Amino acid sequence: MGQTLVYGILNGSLYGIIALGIALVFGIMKYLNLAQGTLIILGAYIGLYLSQLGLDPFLSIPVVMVALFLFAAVLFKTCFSRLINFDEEEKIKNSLLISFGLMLFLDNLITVIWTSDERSITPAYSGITFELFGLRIPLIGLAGALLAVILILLLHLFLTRTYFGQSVVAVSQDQEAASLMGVNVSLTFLTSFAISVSIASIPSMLIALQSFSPTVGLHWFNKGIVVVILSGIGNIYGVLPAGLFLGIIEALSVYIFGPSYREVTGLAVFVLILILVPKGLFRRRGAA
Amino acid sequence: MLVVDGLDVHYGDLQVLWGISLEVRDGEIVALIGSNGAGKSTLIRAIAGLIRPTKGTIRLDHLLLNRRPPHEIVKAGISMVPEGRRLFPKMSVLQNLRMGAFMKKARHEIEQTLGWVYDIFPVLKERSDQPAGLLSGGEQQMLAIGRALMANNRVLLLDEMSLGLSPLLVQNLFKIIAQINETGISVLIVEQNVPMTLRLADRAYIIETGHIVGEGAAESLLNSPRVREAYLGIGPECEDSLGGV
Ligand SMILES: Nc1ncnc2c1ncn2[C@@H]1O[C@H](COP(=O)(O)OP(=O)(O)OP(=O)(O)O)[C@@H](O)[C@H]1O
Ligand SMILES: [Mg+2]
Repeated sequence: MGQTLVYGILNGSLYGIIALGIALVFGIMKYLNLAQGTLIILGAYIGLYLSQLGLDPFLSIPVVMVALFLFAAVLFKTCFSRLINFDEEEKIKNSLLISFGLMLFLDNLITVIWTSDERSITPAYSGITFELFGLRIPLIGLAGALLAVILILLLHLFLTRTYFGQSVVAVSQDQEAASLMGVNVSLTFLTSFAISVSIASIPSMLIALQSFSPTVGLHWFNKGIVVVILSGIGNIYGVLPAGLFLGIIEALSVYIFGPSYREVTGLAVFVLILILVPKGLFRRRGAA
Repeated sequence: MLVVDGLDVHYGDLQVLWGISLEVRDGEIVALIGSNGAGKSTLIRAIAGLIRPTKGTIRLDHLLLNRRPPHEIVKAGISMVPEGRRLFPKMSVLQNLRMGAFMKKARHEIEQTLGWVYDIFPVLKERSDQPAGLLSGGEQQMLAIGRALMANNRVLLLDEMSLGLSPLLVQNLFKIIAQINETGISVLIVEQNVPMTLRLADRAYIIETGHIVGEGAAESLLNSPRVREAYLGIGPECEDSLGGV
């Protein structure tokens, strides 16, 4: 049982960071980026390539991060920049369509480049676990959970302590008013999108260390969007607890009903929560 | 000096402004008078860069401003208090004010400007840690004006700042606008209360269905029978009902 919780928490923190990228884009720009999962998988392939060159997966995170940042900036310029001044509903609908197309395109592009074989990166330390209070804790999972926490803290400091971060918060609350304060909204959109996609480098690596193939992006997006909705849409501080919640529910379901009911239980609880607490579990009132 | 010349604005195929020309000289208060739907907000928004005019020019001194995005227009020296306040509701009062000084040149003077804004609106200092969304309507409007002042700009555009506020508060805000203008800031003001606005302003333009149909010294417009009938709803015989500001 304790061991189940450990796996639930570690998996949950992975769900949490996947959700973070989706929640940031949605919270700031009101874009729904269906391609976030595929971009995570793209990051995993870049990581695979780097590992074949001999770079350690964890050390390759910053490289993947920069690569995804630049790629996302180009994607934004070419595919998403036209939606900037649309109203909220139009933004959601159009970004959904565009990112769906993008996802199909990238899935296929990845298949063409890397074939549809299932891959994984297996460094020497991939199986290492250590004991704590009688529980086995996998090293990689723990590192991933720590990275998730660090990332959210950094993001919090960036948003609250820097002028640029404050302008991002301002844009998320009233885009037009922010522009009247002298905020360059297009640049803020571009940067926020690129940052949100570059965050995918962490789940990229964690997934690469498990296993991946070209078309599993949507599966991971689904986990992410469920967590985003559980946490209360647009609330970036709720994603980690909501991710942990989903991870633990899934782990408990495996423990009680067996592995084949994992997805079903997760989604059933999700629907139940939507009915009972439609605004999400971790919605905060007042300050951003 | 802010000069608008021959401005056309369309929403899609619908033209709402037709060849608008006006100017706001340094240190002036200029009022824009017109009934609902005349195009006042559209004109203010076009000057602020929120809508791109289809024809005509907007200049601040020699700088051409039409076709520029809003953030460049603020940098050029024009701040706007939008209709409906448009605060950042989840940010605190102080954070809203700091956002007002987002531009680099304003950031350098932020502490001084903040002191000045707090002097004008002491209540903002008392409420500085409260989320803007929880302020009263009047306090929100003060914050909207204070936030625009934080940019330390030479031109202030005010769109219906007194909407929904108590008469006493409106009188106060008008006094404050006069006071702000004393410091050398030019003001272009849109208001529903025509007599009060004409008393505050130096000059005024009258706009009807997207056309400028009259202009002149505010005082003479206040006394012109045409304005009195159309916007004050009174004939020349009811002098006294205009009351004092
Ligand atoms: N976003 C928009 N799309 C289409 N038409 C618009 C839009 N905004 C305003 N209009 C139209 O443009 C005209 C001018 O509107 P505007 O808001 O500028 O008037 P106003 O003088 O500010 O009125 P009010 O006193 O009610 O604030 C109106 O006929 C209005 O219906
Ligand atoms: Mg208006």
